[in-house]
Amino acid sequence: MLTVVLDAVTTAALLFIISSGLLIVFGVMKIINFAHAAFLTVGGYAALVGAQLGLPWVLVLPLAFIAGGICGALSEAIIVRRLYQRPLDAILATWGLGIVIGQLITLAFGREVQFVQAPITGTVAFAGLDYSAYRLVMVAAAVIVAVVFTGLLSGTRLGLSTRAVIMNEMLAQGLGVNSARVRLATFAVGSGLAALSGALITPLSSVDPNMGLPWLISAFMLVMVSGGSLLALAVSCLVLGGCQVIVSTFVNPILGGLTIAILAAVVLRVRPKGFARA
Amino acid sequence: MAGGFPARLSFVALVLVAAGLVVAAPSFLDTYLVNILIRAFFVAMAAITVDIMWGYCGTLTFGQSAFFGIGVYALAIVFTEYGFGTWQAFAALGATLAVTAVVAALTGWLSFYPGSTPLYASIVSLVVPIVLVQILYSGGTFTGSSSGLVGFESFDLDLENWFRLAGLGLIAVAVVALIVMRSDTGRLLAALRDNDARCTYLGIDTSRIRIAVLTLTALVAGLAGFGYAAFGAIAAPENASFTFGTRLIIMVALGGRGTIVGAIVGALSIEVASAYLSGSFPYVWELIIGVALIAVILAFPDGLVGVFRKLRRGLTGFRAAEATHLRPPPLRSWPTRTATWRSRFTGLASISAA
Amino acid sequence: MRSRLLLTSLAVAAAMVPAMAADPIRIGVPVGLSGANSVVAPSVVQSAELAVEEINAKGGVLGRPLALDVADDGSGAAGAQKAFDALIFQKKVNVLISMETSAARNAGLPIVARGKTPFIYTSFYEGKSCSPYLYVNAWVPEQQVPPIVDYFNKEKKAKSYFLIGSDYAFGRGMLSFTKAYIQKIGGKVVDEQYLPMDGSDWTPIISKLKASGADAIITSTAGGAPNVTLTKQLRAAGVSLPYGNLAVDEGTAKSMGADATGIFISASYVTGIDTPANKTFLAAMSKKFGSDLKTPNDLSVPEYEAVYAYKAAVEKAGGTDQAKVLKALDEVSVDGPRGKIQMNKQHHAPLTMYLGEVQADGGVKVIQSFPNVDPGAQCPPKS
Repeated sequence: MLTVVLDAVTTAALLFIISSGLLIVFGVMKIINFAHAAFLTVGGYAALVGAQLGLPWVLVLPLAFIAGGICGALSEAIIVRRLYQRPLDAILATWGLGIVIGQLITLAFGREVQFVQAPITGTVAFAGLDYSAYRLVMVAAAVIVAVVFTGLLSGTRLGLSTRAVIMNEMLAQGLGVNSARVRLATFAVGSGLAALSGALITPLSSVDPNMGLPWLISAFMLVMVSGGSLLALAVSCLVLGGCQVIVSTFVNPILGGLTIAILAAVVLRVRPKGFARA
Repeated sequence: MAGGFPARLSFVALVLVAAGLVVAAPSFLDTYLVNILIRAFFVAMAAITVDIMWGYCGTLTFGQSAFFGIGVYALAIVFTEYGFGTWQAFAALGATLAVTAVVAALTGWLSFYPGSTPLYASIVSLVVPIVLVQILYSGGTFTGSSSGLVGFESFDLDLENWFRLAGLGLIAVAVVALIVMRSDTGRLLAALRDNDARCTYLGIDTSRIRIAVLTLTALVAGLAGFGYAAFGAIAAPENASFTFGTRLIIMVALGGRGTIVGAIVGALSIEVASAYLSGSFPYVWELIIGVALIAVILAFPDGLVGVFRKLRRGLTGFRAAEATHLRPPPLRSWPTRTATWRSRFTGLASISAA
Repeated sequence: MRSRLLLTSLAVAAAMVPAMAADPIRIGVPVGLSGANSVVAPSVVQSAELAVEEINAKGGVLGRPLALDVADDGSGAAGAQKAFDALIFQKKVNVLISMETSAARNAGLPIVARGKTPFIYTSFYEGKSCSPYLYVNAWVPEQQVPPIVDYFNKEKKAKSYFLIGSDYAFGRGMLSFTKAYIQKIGGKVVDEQYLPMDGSDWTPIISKLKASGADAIITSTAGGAPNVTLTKQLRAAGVSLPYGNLAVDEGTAKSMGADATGIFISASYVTGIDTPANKTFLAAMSKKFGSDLKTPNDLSVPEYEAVYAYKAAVEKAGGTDQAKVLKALDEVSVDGPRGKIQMNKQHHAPLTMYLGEVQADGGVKVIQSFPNVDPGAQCPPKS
């Protein structure tokens, strides 16, 4: 029983880290970035490169973040900037961007599946159980991500500008906030987070040019359900992620993969704003 | 139909020429190309349905691939479980039509309710193929799971007749679609796309119409899938996937949305080019598609057909001749120029230049 | 004037063609360059390349050089359909020789039948795939499963088994044979769990395994990526039960690193086979590929031998006529790294099997060997 709970919590943590980048972009810019999967893949390959170069994990993670951030900043400047009024077109254009990034990665690294060794292997004795240490680390990572970004949003000048833009962009511009810079920074940070999550998940499975795709849909649904708030995202990850684990364990792992998508669609039908406070 | 008798005559002439080409072509074309084109014809039928939903009705739908997949699997499952024969063929056909209609009606009910947004409809259309593929994966040996279903006996037509069947089928679908879209129904759909609220004020039940359109297009997509599987004798989960659904959208976007012909052009070019190029230059080909998609969204919203039209008319900007065409003129040819102009009343955007 | 010059030069060029090299015999290799099999596909392509190079250096087959056409089948049915179509109808290959997932093979067979192209399947698989055009020179469950189960039963005293597989023809086929065999020798199968071929999150299944109290695990995933993710996650969860992996090869085991230690495999090829033929083969591979060499393994060595088998069949048939080659494939034998192999048992081959345990350095220690194991009745003639 405890195993299921731990599975649920660690899965929720994983989903949170992966979706947080998408949420930040959606919250500020109201567009959905379908290239999120590609940025996640960038992070995975950054981790691969880091591991091949023999870098310690402490360096690999920031490396992945920066790689993702740079890709994000470039994408925003060239493509995304022109699509703020057209959310549906933005989905398509970012999907095209995702394809381009994926193919560039394939050209550089080949399309076979590759692997990265986990920095922490083995199990930890936790409340009478032996549980995978790396998965438990995920929970810590998720908490750190949440704390850091809440801190950034509430404690820094950029965070203040961002919150202003989220609330009322016209007014913020009128007050002298450079919303274009805020958007650039936000997109870069969101992409960096995606890459970071990609680097974090590679030791659990594998690296290949399409690794981000399965996560994209779940992340997308979770972001829609959370309606824009980081806290709501955490709640949705716990609730929906937990349901996924329960269905996977007690019914069928294949149907478990469906749970998030279906539940999210139902929640959105009932409450279009999702879990966010109105 | 707009344009009067000469336009009608040239339309009929075009259709006859196309039909003639389809009937004669297999004798000239290389076997491999015939193979590819047959598949491409069925995919093009599905692409037309995406164009109707997206280009004419304004719903960005990833889900038409699910209906295609239902047709594929209905045929495969019936022929695998019960063998091949006349009653089995009719049963498979019936199953295709019944299941796609039910799933479409359900999807429509979920997506198009009063107060729903186009974004929500897209989300639901995204979920449908994902759910379907997972159901296929969990079906064990009944659906073949990851392997798909192969080795079932199917219709015994030779390659050339398959080509004619598929090609004429595509022409038929395209002709019906064009006629309907150029009629009052087409105007109604365009009205729905451009201003849903106003249609509701006029007393039109927009949700019901959208659900009806979705169901009809789903039936056509299902039949396209049925044909695809009947020819290829293979059913694989990729045929129903969200990736395939996105592929269909890319075909319509690149070809030119809202024109029907664009969907056909996009589907055929991409299918043929990918078959020939993906062996030799796999990465570069996909890269080209990605870049083309971005370019189309950013700069050429009317796709290949739009570019072709512009070239044909020269670059003179006056678009009065398009008054009878259903696509709204792009922003830059409106009589007034507006830079970013938005009115917001505490969170409620009442007008935006979109 | 210009057109006459053009015509003349074309005529001269056309006359020169017969004087140039004889037209090559094309070997089509549809293989999983992307997807689950992408971990092993490069080794398969390397084997084919070495065989072609060696044969061409000795004058080719009946004076004609061999040429390879490699296509990506995506490790699945939809991709295989495209790859087979391209190879058979566009590139017009004379033969298909490759290793593929069962999903890809099953999707390709109808196309092979339509093109009447001989197809030598070089991958181990779940058995009972029959077509007049299909020959198999790799093992089937009747050859591979008994060594592992018997060993677990006798030496590890395992009575209850937990089976994990990829959900497709191979995974289900192998595990259903395994289940029947376990029950025949008096063991018990506690549970069977499957994930789709591309699935990579085994967490719920591993949790079920730990809760089940089984004595041993036997797995049969698609070759390549699923093996690695499953093993990594099993080890990360601290599972150390006797672990028999029906679908892993030495190359994949090496890429798992330390996690692979202790896995039991049953294979028709291990690099440690101590015969002159194997040593020559390994030296030649090393020389050709140097540091790019992918470990030759049970999925790639049969490819090397199959190219030689095709050469022998063409020589026996006196040409590439498909019907004659198909008949000759039954009669020729090849002496390769795995010994003498002939595909004369209903298009399948008797093989020598080795039971081994993966060591910490990724190599395989041979525990027992079983010469000339019969594949059983794979394709009984319809009476």
